[in-house]
Amino acid sequence: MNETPTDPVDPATGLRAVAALRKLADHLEALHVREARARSWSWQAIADVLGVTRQAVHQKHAPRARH
Amino acid sequence: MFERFTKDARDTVRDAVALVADRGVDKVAPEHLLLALAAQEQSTAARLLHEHGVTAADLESGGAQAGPAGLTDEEVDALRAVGVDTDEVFRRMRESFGPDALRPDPAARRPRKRGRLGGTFDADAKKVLELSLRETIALEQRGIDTGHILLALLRHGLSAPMAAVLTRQGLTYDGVRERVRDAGDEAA
Repeated sequence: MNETPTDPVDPATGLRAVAALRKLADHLEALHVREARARSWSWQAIADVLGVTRQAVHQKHAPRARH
Repeated sequence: MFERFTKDARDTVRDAVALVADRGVDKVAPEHLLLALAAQEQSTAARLLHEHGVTAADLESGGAQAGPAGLTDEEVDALRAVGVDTDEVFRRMRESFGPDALRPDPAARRPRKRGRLGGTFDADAKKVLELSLRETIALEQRGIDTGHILLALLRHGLSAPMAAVLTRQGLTYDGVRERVRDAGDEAA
């Protein structure tokens, strides 16, 4: 560990990265939830692994008719 | 419902419909209306957008043309800057879920044939068109013009990145409203 600090990331870049990470996480979540459902996972099981409530995961990902 | 639209406003709607047809997108969304406005040269809204340095290209990079997983180039660069190897993330997404895994909207978007004008707008775009009528009435003006559409867009329906482009360039609802009122007074 003899790394010397280099240029710190510009706050604008860092913050943009945080926002982008959330988007990336949402995208990844959608993919994996669909895969889990395709493999007959229950909403409860998916919610447990994601660490959220069953309602939250269902509301976000349950297929619904587009109005 | 388009009787009260000025020629510029009708052109906007027509251009937005043509834009989604070109792109094989199902329906006109608010973004497409804004892109159509930005692509114009002389309309009230186009003049406002251009004065504030907003171009169709900025808006595209800010919103409509999201890249892999819905991330813009700017976002991908930011992720790299904090050490997230997006290329590897994207590669694994593709590997696990197939080539469609990186499509911005995981909900399938099926191309659709061009239909009647009225049927080609999504719920948000319809709402924007309704709001543009309300803006016109609120300003006691007669024709629904491009400025009213822009006002409506500032109120409703734009994706966050695209709305952010407008905000960043200093376009606010109140500022635009003032200009639209003045433009109407000149025309009267």
